Amino acid sequence: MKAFNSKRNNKKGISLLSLLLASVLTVLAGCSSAGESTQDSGGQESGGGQPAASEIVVSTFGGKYDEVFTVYVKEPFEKANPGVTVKLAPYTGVAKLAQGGGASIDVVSLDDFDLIEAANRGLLAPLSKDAFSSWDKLYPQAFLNGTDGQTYGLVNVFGAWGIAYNPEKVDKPESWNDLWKPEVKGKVALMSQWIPDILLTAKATGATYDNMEPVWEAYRKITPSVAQYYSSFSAPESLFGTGEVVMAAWFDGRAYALKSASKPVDFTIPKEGGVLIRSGMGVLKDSKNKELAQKLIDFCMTPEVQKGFAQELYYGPTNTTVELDQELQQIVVYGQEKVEALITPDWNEILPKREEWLTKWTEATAQ
Amino acid sequence: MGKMMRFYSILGWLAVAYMAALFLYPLLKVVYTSVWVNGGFTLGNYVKIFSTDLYSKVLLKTLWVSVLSTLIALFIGYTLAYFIATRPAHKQGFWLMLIISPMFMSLTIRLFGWMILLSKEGPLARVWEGAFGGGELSLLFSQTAVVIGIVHFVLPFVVLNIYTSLNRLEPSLLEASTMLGASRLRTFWQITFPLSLPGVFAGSSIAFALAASTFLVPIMVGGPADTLLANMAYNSIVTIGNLGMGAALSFVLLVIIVAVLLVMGRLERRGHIAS
Repeated sequence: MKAFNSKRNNKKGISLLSLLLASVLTVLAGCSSAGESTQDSGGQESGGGQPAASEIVVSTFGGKYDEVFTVYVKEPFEKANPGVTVKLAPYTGVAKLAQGGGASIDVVSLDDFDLIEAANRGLLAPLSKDAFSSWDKLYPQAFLNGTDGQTYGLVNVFGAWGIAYNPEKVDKPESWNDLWKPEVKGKVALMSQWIPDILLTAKATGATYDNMEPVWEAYRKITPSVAQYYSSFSAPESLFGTGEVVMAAWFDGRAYALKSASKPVDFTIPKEGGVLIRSGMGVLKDSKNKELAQKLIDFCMTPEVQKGFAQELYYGPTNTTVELDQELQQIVVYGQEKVEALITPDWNEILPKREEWLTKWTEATAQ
Repeated sequence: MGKMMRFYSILGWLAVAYMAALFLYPLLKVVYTSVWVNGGFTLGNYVKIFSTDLYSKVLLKTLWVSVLSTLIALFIGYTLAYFIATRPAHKQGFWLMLIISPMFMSLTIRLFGWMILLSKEGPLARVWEGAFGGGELSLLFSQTAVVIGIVHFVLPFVVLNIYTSLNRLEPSLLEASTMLGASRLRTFWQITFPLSLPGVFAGSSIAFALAASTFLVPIMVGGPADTLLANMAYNSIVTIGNLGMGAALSFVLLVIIVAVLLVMGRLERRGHIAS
């Protein structure tokens, strides 16, 4: 080490230092110019869809969803449009999209609130009615509009947020307040930082958007008897599986999938109502292939595809013309009556309050 | 010789450039994001962290959990390292492999294992029931589970570091001590332990840094109130979409870890001088 230090004379040090600086600057310059150039080309080519660019990249939710998507969307879409390849990309959230993480993606699949948030942040391109054959056949709840009133996303599957429970251990819950019952103390799971849970708690406690204090009070009260605030939709599967919980706020599709795997789980909508869970698809503003992207979304709205999602994943169709078997109709969100019975959150009203709500939620639960 | 030197110094500077571009720059960006909110300079995020009850509580909880896990990992790690270092030389490799082998598997999978072990109907609860009857043992989704998970996660790093310094120990020193009439216990506390301190400090530095920044363990095995600082930063960026707050939380965590590591480094150097 000593030899190393003494041999290094000053001149060499300075020249090396400048070399270092130069290399850092080159790297930084490279990064920023690369970023700009992609944006530029996106802007230039966004006008007309290029038939030559035949690959379309769609981000999805992973797991079983991807399997179903491959069978019912990717393969038939490629068959119907020769020369087109549909590539599935991992789930990409708003935070990542806002940081330029969607550069290679054309179509994003997001929950309704994230899609609207992305639209309001200017990350998505508005959809044009003319590009869709199924536009007029969709439920009104299937349109995801930004604050400017334009439609930025279409919902391809409906779900219902309610209570999943173990029928061998507890009675069928009637009310959202049953989650607070002493019999299930320590065996309840709710979702972490999840607005639908907050909305249902607001309904059960009679809170209003202007005065949410009863909700936080309820969370303060229930937290000691909650086993876990889970962070991923799939978490309750293992929680019910190991007997760790007997009741959980969850959504219908996953609960029925677990039930059909002959696990002791059932699902119910409490008397306060359930929340309509919507997953939608939108086109990124920088996509170079907007026409094909809209065509793919349109394809996801066809009865064949939506029937597939209902059969495989128990997701409700968003196209009014879909016909399901009698048995399936009973389970999934199907038909105008069922769709309208669920609460559809007005995200453009809620999103500005989200930070305050979730901070309050964290304060109430971090005891 | 001179040529070789120049080659190595260029290589060294390239490494520095690499660090500057891929570590320093993103780090500065984090600091910038935390103080540059809506086009203006503000320390608001930091003021909020230190003046809000919630954040200071989570900060203290994070420190407590990391210190506790580090201490437990040190105790278990030292015992294991000592055990391995005193095995015949040709068998030590096997034991080390055994310690490192969990690291070949993703932490997520290993934590699922812990979820099964700790759950209400899991093997630990059954043994407990068999031994003490009655009362249900509920370990999963608690701070205990988080500490268990973190200790499991950092243990190999602690063992490797302590093993390395135990292995460097001159056997002649131990022989001298025994020949001069010291008991085995006295030899351990006066010769072996002080000489292994550099490994202890290096191991605990890594263990603390990993524990304080852990993100996955509280999410998977923690209870409703076991959110740590890294989770807060994640929630604030991904769920809430407040990049500035997330960046400020991350930076506070970084400063705390660096401060602790500096103290550890000083202790480690003192350990070197003592040897």
